[in-house]
Amino acid sequence: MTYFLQLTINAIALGSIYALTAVGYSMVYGILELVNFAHGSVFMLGAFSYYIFAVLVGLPWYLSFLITFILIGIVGFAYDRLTLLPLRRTNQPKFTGLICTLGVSIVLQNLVFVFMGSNTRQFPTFFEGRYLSLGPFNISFIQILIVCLSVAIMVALSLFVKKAKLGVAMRAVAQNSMASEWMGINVNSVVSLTFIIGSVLAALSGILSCMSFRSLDITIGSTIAIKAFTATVLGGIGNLGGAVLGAFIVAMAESYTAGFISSDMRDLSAFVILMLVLLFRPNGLLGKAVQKKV
Amino acid sequence: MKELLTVKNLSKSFGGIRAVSDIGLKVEEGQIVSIIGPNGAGKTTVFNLLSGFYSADEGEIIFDGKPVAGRRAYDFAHNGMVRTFQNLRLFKSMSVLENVLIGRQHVTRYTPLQMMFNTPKKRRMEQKDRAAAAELVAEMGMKDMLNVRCDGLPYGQQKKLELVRALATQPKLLMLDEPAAGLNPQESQELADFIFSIRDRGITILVIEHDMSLINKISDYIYVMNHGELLCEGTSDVVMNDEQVIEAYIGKGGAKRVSGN
Ligand SMILES: Nc1ncnc2c1ncn2[C@@H]1O[C@H](COP(=O)(O)OP(=O)(O)O)[C@@H](O)[C@H]1O
Ligand SMILES: [Mg+2]
Repeated sequence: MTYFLQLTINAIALGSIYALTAVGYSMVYGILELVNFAHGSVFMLGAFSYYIFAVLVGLPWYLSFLITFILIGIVGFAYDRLTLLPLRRTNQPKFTGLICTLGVSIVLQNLVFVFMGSNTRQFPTFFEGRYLSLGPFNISFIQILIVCLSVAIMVALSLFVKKAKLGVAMRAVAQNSMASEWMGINVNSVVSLTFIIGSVLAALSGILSCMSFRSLDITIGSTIAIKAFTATVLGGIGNLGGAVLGAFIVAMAESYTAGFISSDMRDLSAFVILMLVLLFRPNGLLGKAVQKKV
Repeated sequence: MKELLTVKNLSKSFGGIRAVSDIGLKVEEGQIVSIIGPNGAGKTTVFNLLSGFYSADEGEIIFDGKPVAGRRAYDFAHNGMVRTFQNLRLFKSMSVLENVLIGRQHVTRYTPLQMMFNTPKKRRMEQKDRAAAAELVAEMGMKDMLNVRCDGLPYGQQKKLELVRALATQPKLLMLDEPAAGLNPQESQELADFIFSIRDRGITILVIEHDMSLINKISDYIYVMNHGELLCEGTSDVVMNDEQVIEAYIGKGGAKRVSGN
C-alpha cells in the first residue's frame, strides 16, 4: 500500500508535466482542428534552450527561463505563420496541415541533432535531490515545485480562457472562426496567440521534466508527444479539462506499470491506453460526439 | 441622403456559371433595402461579394466612401459593416451575454499592458462593456435570457440573438441573409418589428429574403434578381406590379396572393 501511494505521488508529478504539454495540444486542436505533431519537438527544444543558456552560457536560472520562453514563443509564432498559415490561406485540406506539422517536427529534431548531437546530457535542477519525508513517503522538492507550478498555471489558464478578452476570443474562434472574424476578431492573431501559449507551456514542461529526470537528449520530444497526445485523446481532444484528466490517467498507468510490472514497460502503457481509447471511446472521456460541419 | 453602399457593374462567375452579372445597387443611409429573387438567382453570391467572402471578377463596391476590395473579414466590423448568416453561426456553448460581448470585442481596445495586467482602468472598461452588452440585450427584449446558454434557446430567439450580437459591433450597415428562413408567420411578424426597431437606432439595413410578405412590409427599396441579373428595382408598389417580376419570381398565379397580403 505504501508502495502504491509512493507510485501515486510520483504519478501526480509526472501527470503535471504531461498536463502542461497536453493542454497545448488541446488548444491548437480546439482552434484549428489540427493535431500538432511538432508539439513534442517544441518541448524538447525548450529543454535544450534552457540547457544552453543555463549550462553552456552560464546564465542564472531565471534569465535562462526568461530567454527560453521568449525564444520558444517566437518559434511557436513563426512555426504557424511560416508553415501553417500559408496552407490555411490557400484552403488546403486539413490533412496537408497534419503532414506539415510532422515535417516541422522532423526539422526541429534534426536541427537540434546537428548542433547539439545525440548524447545524453546531465540537466541542472533545483534543490539538488533534496526531499520531504512524510512518514514512509519521499516527495522530492522538485516534484512539489512541479505540481504547484502546474496547478497555478492551469488555474491561471482556465481563468484566462474563461474571463480575459483574448481568452474569450480564443473560445469564440474555436467555436466558429468565421463568425468570430465577422465580429471583428483577427482570427490569425488569435491562432498565433494559441501557438505562443502552447509552445511556452511545452517549453516549461520540457524544462521541468528534465529537471525531474536530471537528463536531456533529443528523444524526449517523441516520448512526451505520444504521452501528451494519448492524454489529450483520452480526455477528449479540444477539451482543456479533459486534457488534464487524461494526463493524470496516463501518468498513473505509467507509474503503476513501471512499479508493478517492469520499468521497461512504462512507455508501453501510453500506447495501450491510446489503442483502447481509439477502439472504445474515440471521442474521449469528456468529449462529445462531434458532428462534422457540412 | 448619403449613399452608404454603392455597387457598380458587379460580376462573378463560377466556372461557366455567371452567378452575378453586371449588378448595380445603391443603399442610402437610414434605409431598409432588400434583394429578392428565386432560388439560384445569385442573392447569396452578391452578399458574399459585398462581405468580401468572394472577390469579384469585375465591378466596384464602395462602402462609406471607401472601396471594399482586398479587405480582410475582420476589418469589415471595424469599418461598420456586419452580416448575419443564413445558417446560424452563434457561439453555441456560450451564454447570450457572452455572445453579445464578443460582438463588442473590437469596440473596446486594450493596450498591451492592459491585456497582461488587471489594472483598475481595465476593470472599469470591462464593467462598462458588460453593462453596455446587457443593456443592448435588454433593449432588444431578451433580458430574461441574459445568462442562458444560447444553444438552449428556441430557434427564433437564436436568430434574434444573432441580430443582437451583430448590433453589438456598432455597425452602420447591417446585412441580413434570409432572416425569416425557418420562422413561423408570428415570428416573422416579430422580426419585421425588430428590424424596424434596429432601423430606428439609425442603422441601415440590407436584407436578402425569400419571404415576400416580410419584404413588402419592411423595404424602402427593392432589387429583384433573376439568373444573376437585375430584373427590376423600385419601391414595393413598383416591383410587385412589374410584369417581369410577377412572371419570373412569383409565377403568374402567385400575383394575387402577394398583392392580397
Ligand atoms: N461557390 C460556388 N461555386 C459554384 N457555383 C456557385 C457557388 N456559389 C453559388 N454558385 C452558383 O451561383 C448561382 C447563384 O447562387 P446563389 O447566389 O446561392 O443564389 P441564391 O442565394 O439567390 O439562391 C447558382 O447557380 C449557384 O449554383
Ligand atoms: Mg441564398
